[in-house]
Amino acid sequence: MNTEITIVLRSLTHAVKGQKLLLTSGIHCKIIRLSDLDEGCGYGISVSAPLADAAAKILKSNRIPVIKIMRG
Amino acid sequence: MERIIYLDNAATTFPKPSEVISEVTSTLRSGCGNPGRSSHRLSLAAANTVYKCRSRIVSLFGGKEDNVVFTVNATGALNLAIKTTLRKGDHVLISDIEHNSVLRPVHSLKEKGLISYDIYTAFEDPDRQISELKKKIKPNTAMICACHHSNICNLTLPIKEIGAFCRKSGIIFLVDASQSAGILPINTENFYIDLLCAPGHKGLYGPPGAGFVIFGERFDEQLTDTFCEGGNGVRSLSPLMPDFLPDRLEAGTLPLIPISGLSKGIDFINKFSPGTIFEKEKRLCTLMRDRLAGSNKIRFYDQKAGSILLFSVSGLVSEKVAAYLDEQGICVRAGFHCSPLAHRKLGTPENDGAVRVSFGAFNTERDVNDFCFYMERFIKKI
Repeated sequence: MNTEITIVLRSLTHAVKGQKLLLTSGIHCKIIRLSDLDEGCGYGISVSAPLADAAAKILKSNRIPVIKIMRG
Repeated sequence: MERIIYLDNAATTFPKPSEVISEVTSTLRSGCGNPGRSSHRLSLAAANTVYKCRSRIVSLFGGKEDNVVFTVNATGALNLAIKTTLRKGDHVLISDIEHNSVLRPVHSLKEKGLISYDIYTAFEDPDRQISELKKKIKPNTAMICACHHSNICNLTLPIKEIGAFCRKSGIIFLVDASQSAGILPINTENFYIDLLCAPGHKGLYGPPGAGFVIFGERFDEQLTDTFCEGGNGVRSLSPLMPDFLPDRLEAGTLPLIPISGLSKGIDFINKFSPGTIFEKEKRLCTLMRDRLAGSNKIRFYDQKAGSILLFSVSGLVSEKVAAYLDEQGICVRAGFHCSPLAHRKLGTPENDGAVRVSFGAFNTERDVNDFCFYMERFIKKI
């Protein structure tokens, strides 16, 4: 069973931009909204666990800071 | 339907391209969620609409999507850019062709005792312009504002050279691109522009209701003041606005409908090779001017060829001329055009201003012929 990993980003703009980059790179992902972050709500990108590292690398290399990575 | 001859494109362009109208209708019908509030498909679709517009903007002007901050118009953009980046004690230089949307916020900050400002003479010649700026800057000059293209005459400032001067001097460079965005080439990176402000509804052919600021790279590290505090869908438990763009400066629901139309407006102008629309406007404007130049009752206030004609008719106040033209289905603007500094520079009547004709992508030679016909008939009766 593939576990989903959530890559937490700092803004919706980064989430939309990140999703486009990942889809272009062949990584299936979706934008999700989070409400259990330290300061309340935010956005992240959900990818399957095996692809999480590659996804985070793509985001960082495109100057999209990864705030944290959450399981599930 | 009565034929309308629209010659007030400096106020807002009309008509709008059919693809802009279709997009706005489509977004209203089926894509009108609130971006950045929920996780459902309509909200995310709206978020994509907004992001698409940010992308279109940076593809045209340079910069990055995060640093595009939406406002409701260029006035909002200029106020936001000026008031979030200046500090107490700063000195600002503005040109003598600035619109009230630069003059008034700067003057208001001065009246509150926060900043000081001076006015520099605008020149098209880069050497003369830089020489003028060198005479006017002070040790505490923090910002130079430049109206790229006047809204009442065909004066275009050398913003690339001004930008280079500002960058070398460590001064923030703000460009008001209200009349030039979509018409003249602008690149925020190559021109060293720190703050580019523009409306969506003029040369970019979007609907009224959206404008934007592109913040340059210097603001990646330099935190701006906030302008309007409120909800933006992230970090809701914090009483503070986020410390990153664009979220820091975008509170409340964004103007999704005009933003969706603005994307299509940019697509529209991208159909033409660079400069085509401006060349057409200049050609029609020259045709009109040449035809009216023979009348000794018309005085023109700008000798340079361009897309704007500013004139007065002897013995008549400008609003009367505009009212007559409106009766013939011709739309122009009279008075001071919210640009008292430029009117003073051009020497228009102090108590009246002048009549402005401003062309757009959809004007034709027929418009020029009809305008001249009615003006010639009008002048004969005076």
